[in-house]
Amino acid sequence: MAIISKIEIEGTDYNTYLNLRVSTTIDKYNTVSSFVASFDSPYGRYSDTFSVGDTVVIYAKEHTYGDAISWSDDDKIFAGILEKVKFTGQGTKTMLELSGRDNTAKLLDSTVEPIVFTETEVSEIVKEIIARNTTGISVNNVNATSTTLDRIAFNHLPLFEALQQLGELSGYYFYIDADVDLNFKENSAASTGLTFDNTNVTKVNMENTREGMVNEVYVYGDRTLAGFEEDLNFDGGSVYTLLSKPHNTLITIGGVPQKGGVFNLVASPISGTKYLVNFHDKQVIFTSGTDIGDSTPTSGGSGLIMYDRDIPIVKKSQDRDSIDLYGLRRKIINDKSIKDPQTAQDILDNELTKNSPFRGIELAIKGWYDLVNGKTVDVTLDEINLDDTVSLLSVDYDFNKNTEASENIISIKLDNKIGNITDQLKDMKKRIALIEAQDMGESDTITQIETTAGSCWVVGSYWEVRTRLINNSFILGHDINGQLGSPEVSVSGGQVELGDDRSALTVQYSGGFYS
Amino acid sequence: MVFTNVGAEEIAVLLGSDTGTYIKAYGIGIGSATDSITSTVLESESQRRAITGNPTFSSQITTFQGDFNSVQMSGTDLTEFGLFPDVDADAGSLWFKQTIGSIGFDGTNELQISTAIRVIAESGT
Repeated sequence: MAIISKIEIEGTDYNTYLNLRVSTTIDKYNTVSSFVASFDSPYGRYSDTFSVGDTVVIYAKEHTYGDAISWSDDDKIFAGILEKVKFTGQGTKTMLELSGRDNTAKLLDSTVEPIVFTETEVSEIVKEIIARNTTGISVNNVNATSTTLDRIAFNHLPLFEALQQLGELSGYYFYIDADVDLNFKENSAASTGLTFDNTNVTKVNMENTREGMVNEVYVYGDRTLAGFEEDLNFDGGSVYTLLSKPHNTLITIGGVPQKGGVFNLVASPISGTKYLVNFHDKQVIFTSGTDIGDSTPTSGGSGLIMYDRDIPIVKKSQDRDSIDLYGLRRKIINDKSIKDPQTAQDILDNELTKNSPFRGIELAIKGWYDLVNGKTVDVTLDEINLDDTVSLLSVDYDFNKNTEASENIISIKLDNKIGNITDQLKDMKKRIALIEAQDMGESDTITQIETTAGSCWVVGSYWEVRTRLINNSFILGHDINGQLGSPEVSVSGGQVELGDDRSALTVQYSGGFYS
Repeated sequence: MVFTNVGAEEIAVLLGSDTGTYIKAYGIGIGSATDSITSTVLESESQRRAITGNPTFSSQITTFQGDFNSVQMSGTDLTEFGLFPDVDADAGSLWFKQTIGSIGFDGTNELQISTAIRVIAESGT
């Protein structure tokens, strides 16, 4: 037995590759694949064979020596497009590397233009954002959900992440199939039915780590100014402390607005200034002095101060048991794009699911297994004290002559992804995007011009040319039928008469079509 | 992106509506040149008349009727007709043209022409 593979580009097989790697990342809410293939290309063998955008299909299966080879759709492990054609080296040592991603990856290349949905069923949201932000992706397999969202806003979030968010909220998962049709289907933790143990595992890596754990979370969102007012009961003093730091203050005494200033801004307040605002100490200070006069309110009197309070959207939560067991792992999220408390709470809840040490498992597998149609596998490895059903994170296929003969093609990652520097960079990139997106609102008007082709056409027409005889009808101005009286006769030999003696219309010619 | 049926309906109506440039007249002639989308005139126009009444509008279809009486047609061997946005002879450019087999008019018969134009919407790219 051996494992065989083939790569098909624009319908043609290219089996001269030196190495072919296919990586499939299996998330709870989506599946994404990519490939890299390397070829010898001496003296320009493939110099103009491949183009970016070519369709790529990769097949693989187990094969018995001597049997005829035939391929079917069940053997497909990748369908996507060629995204990079890279030549290196020179002369006889020229190498060609082809790489690309599957159709689902197209969703990573677009963002959702600012939009808000209220009281909308999830599948309708999915169809709408696909229609608005992509071209060429159909939605024939977007299934209706039982989830209707009160409110959800997107602000140039990558389309892939938007669909992932909708998948999380509705319990659905998504991918784009080989026909470039979006599938949005109910999630299920279906098992692959496969067991990996000492009989088929050739290499094991497992680690448990606090890295990535979170058991206390603060989420800071946007801030909002909200109006507030306090009564000022004067006691003869000049300094009055407020409940909050005041923005946009207005003090009225006896209904008369007072002129204000900023505390410590100038050495001597401008003439006419009645009070100063000490923002950080939450105070208003009525002025008095030789030059500007005494504005200290009379004891027993009262006034009114109106100001705006700066109210933040902030949420905090912690897992006390996790903190006791593993120590504090605090995470601060400061995201100005969070504009409502519910979104902040959702993010908080999601972060707190990471309250246990992360277990990452990597297995090298001998043999050929269908790892696409399922999300969990059973692993029994006594030497690392592991006997568990764990979720699949990714599947990597490495095809070359040696691995195919030895059947050491597949390696898999299981359970939890241990964060690395790449993940941290991705996280940073995402957070920068959120910061940059904070000033882009769904209410902003974007003027766009879009051109399209072949959306409206005029069918030639349907036409008829008809004639009829005038017979004995009187026709004004007619040489013959324009003469009334006896013995005048018409063109047809009868007496010309007032009234309509014309024959019925006869179609002489017709043509055209309607549909 | 799609152009909708409602949009197509509106365009069909605009062909014959009293707004901007629209179809107003039938021209008839005795030429026999092949119909071409680059044509701007009939090959040999003999006369032009305003369409009869108003066009009829129905479900993305606008229909124009033209009537020429026996006095107007007498002596004509009709071989072509067209629709124009202008009633005056030789004015405006041709919007629609059709060449037919010859029909002779000798003062005993009259002519009626009917042309229905349909606008269809379909998915674009």
